[in-house]
Amino acid sequence: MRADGKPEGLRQSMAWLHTWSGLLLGWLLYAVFFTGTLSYFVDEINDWMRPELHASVAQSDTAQQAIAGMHKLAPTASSWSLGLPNARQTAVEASWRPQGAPSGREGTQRAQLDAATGEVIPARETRGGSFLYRFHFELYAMPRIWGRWIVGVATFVMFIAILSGVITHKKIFSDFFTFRPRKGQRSWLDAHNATAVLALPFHIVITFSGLLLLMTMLMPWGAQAVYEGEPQRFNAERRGMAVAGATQAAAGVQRGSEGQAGATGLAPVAPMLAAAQAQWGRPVGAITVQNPNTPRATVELREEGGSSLLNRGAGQRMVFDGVTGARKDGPPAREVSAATAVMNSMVSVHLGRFADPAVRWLLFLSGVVGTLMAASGMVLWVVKRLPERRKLGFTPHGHRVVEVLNVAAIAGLSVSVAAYFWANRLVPVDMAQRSVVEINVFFAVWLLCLVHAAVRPHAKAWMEQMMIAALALALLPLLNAATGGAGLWHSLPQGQWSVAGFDLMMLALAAVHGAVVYHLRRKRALQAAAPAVRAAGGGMRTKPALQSQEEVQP
Amino acid sequence: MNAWWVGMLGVAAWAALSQAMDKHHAQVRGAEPDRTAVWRWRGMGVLFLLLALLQCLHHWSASVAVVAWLGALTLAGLLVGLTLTYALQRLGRLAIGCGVVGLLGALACW
Repeated sequence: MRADGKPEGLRQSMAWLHTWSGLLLGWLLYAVFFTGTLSYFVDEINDWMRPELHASVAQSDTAQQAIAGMHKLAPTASSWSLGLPNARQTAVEASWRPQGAPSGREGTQRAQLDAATGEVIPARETRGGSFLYRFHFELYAMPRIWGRWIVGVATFVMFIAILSGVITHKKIFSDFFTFRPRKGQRSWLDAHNATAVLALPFHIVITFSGLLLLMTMLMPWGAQAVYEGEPQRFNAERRGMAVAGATQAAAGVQRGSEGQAGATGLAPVAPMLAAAQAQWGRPVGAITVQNPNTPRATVELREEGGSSLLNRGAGQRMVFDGVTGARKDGPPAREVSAATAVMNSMVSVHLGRFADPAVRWLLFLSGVVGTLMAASGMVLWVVKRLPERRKLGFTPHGHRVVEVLNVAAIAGLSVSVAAYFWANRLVPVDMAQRSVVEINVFFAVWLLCLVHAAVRPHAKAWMEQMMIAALALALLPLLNAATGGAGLWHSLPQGQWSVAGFDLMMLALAAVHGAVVYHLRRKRALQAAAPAVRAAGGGMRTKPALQSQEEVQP
Repeated sequence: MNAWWVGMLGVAAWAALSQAMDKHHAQVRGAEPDRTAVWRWRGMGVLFLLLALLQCLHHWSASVAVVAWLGALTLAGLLVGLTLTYALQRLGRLAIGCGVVGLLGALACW
């Protein structure tokens, strides 16, 4: 309701909704966007955070070496899975299931094998990029389901904020390319609009698919009603699989009856790889061996990456007889129903597992644009209220709280993510529970940033935290080389794109933070040089101008 | 390289579309466009958008192509926006350069 008692128009009520839904969950959504964007490179981060793996360089006979390694490591396992080195990992990612192991994740054992020798590489204990990935949809230090609910609700609010934002910022399309720098509130609004509208398809898809990913948790009733307490059957059907337990039990029986036939060698895999590559025109990404060292052994090859979103980017497969090396008929390709295709295409874009490097970078950069949109919106809230503050002559407590949380949520998160990567190299390798220590460093530094933002004047807090973030990020490639990892001068010539990509990404992030610092410093210098201008044009100032406000704060 | 050709076609498309908007036309050419000019620029912009989409469809499956197309257009749009802000005089050269190189690169892929 407006002060004059007339009913509000659609645009005003949407503006109210957009402002407050955006502000209240903005800090959380910013963190979700930031860590989620980094998660497009989760494999690369995992590689970088285990520098022991950097010594592994892919060779032409890597597959054969890895198979030999598995013969030594787990000769009696019921299956082996080998993820071969590619642009996103330097070592062979091996997993196997011992005979009689329980189904699911707990029955699987894992190791990383050197791509040249097939030997196990003892890597440090770390959650790596998986921590950031998990954090972006289930937070931390609370029951998983709570975190998912919180993020799910926030995602829903994000969806509302996007839709109401399109209605609110009516000039969003007519001002499509407009950016007016150095105009305070105007500039922030332009930046907010531009980053929102230019990546609008990405924002809508990523938010909507985020909801779809949490769909069965947020709205379980449909599935409950139809599947009547059999969620496994629903999930299996949704993924187009037979119910998992049944097939595994069958496999176990077969193994039991024929598995005792004695150790038999495995046919060489090189000809199989060559056949697959010749047919697909793309390299083999993974090898699965069922019943190794038995007469029933089969070798299944999977294509690296997929080409379509409709089947969740599942690659092509080819199956060989493990003993004779002859080609066998693989399982028939599954039909994808229309509903599943829609669901898959949404979810696949979100997960980005299908993406080749070019598409992955496009998704990452779209995520960066979205992160900037969230940040500019939160800063805009503060900047927009400066004239009101000036009229009041003091800073209301609520405004100050938003300022502090903005600095801690935006600049502080950059500092603490950088600290997480530093801790990865500085926490001793043999320390007990070192992965937990790394994560504790992340949260401790984030908390410190909050305290720092609360005790320092607003403009100085921004500047100092941005400067620390820029420095800490820029030095990461050097830290990498100094603490046992492959420096850029090694990783680039050797084609270790995961390690090189991480270092380059950190340099790029450092440049973004450095640009903000440069901008803030120049702004301050300008103001110091022209105090009279500041007094005259005060209504149009941005962050650094807040200093004068801080002095009158209680 | 394919993503680069798509991005360049996108830059040409957005630059043309910006010239179909009164404000940006006036920014670059000192006056608002007349009606035929508006439709000419729009037509050219849409043509380059479709060329970029075509190039994506040639390289990727349809579903991935749409993702790549939208992603490349986002970044191309940012570049055109920043050029309009900070390097107005170079917009024409940027657009023509990107359009020509993008077309040649795309043609080389077929």
